[in-house]
Amino acid sequence: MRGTIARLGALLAKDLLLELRTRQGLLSMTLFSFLSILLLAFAFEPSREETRFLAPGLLWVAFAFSGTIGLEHTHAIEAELGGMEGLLLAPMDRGLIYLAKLIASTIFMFVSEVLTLPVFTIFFNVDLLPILPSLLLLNLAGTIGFCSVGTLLVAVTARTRLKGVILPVLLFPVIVPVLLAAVEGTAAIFRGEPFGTPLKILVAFDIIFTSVSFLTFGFALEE
Amino acid sequence: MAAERGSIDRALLWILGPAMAANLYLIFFYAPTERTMGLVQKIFYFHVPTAWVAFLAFFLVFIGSVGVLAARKESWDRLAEASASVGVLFCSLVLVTGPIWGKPVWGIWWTWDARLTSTLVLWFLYVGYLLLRSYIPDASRRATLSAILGIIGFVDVPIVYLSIRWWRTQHPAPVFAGGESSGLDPRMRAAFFFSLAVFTILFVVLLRLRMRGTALERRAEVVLEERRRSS
Repeated sequence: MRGTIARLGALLAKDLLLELRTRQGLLSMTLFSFLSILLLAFAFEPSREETRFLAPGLLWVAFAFSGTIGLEHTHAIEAELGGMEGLLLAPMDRGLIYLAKLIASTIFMFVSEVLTLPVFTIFFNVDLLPILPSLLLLNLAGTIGFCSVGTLLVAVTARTRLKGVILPVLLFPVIVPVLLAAVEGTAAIFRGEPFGTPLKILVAFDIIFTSVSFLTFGFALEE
Repeated sequence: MAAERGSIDRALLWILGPAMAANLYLIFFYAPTERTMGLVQKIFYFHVPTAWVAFLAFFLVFIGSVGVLAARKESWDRLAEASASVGVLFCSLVLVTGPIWGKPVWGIWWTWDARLTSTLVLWFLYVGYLLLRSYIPDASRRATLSAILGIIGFVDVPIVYLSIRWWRTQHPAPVFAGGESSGLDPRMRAAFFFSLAVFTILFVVLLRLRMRGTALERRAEVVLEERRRSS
């Protein structure tokens, strides 16, 4: 058991160190997230009162798009210099590779979400500070759900022709429950209402899809 | 083996032809016309059986996918592929017949109800499944990678449904489960179950044809490959 945790730690440390040195993944994700907010501000008059009702949806559209970029980046770094072959040669369960990638992607996506929130506050004139703890909790649960399926599907699509082209087409229908619960939960938080049900849906999704993906991930890497 | 398979298909087709004709008779002449909705209610005898077939097909995609990962036999992959193709066809029919009924009865083509929205998500899932397959030229890699999606997609179905139901619901409640008072006219009920059986036979026929088609396709590929090598 301790050996397993040490191996998981080593895999995770590798991904985090790589990101700390290049900052490419986080930068491209966060910039894309900012850009989505900018584009959405063009589409929906941000100073109008009604726009507040759209805010949860707009936020999660930005998160989902930039999250897709993050998933692809976290997987693509292994394609360089035969990184994936090295990982596959390591004597350990392939589920561990999945867990490490899942945790790394979740951290990157979550950090990028946290960086996006202030920009959103400024551009859309919504005060997020008083509701920040609830918002972060819900975002974390949603981000784990997004990455649990995403980490598996990015490994599946990376081995097709034209690589990541079809990732969003496959990923978004599967994560409909995540997007739905995250948007409705965020809306409830904005209104100051309880958000227990959407949080429960997210946690259930996280548990189910982390388990299923953990079990099937090895097949996605087979030659 | 092949001859036996052919005779099963022939027998099924012989049953299917007259059964389809009988089905139309039962639906349009035997079953009474519904009092408030009128003739448009007849679409229910097509809409519900096609939905049932679509769900059955997607369940078989799941079975085939588990089979691929567990047993690595090509026939499991052919089952998954054929079920997905036929399932998408029937799911499309569900999405077309629903609005045709919805417009006169509800006054709108579409509503974001749990069953409607789930069916739409389902359609996207399995069209994505077929799309993924078309992106992978290598047969054994295609089988494994699409099997993963076949499993993930099926596990997702109840969660999608529950989350959307929590979000909103408007679809008419099932008319069979709610005891005697909610029931149908017995003739309507008979016509409905007959239609259900006929559509299930139609599904089996299409599934078998599709599976045989892909087997022939693969054999043709092997023959072509051999010929290319020898020349």
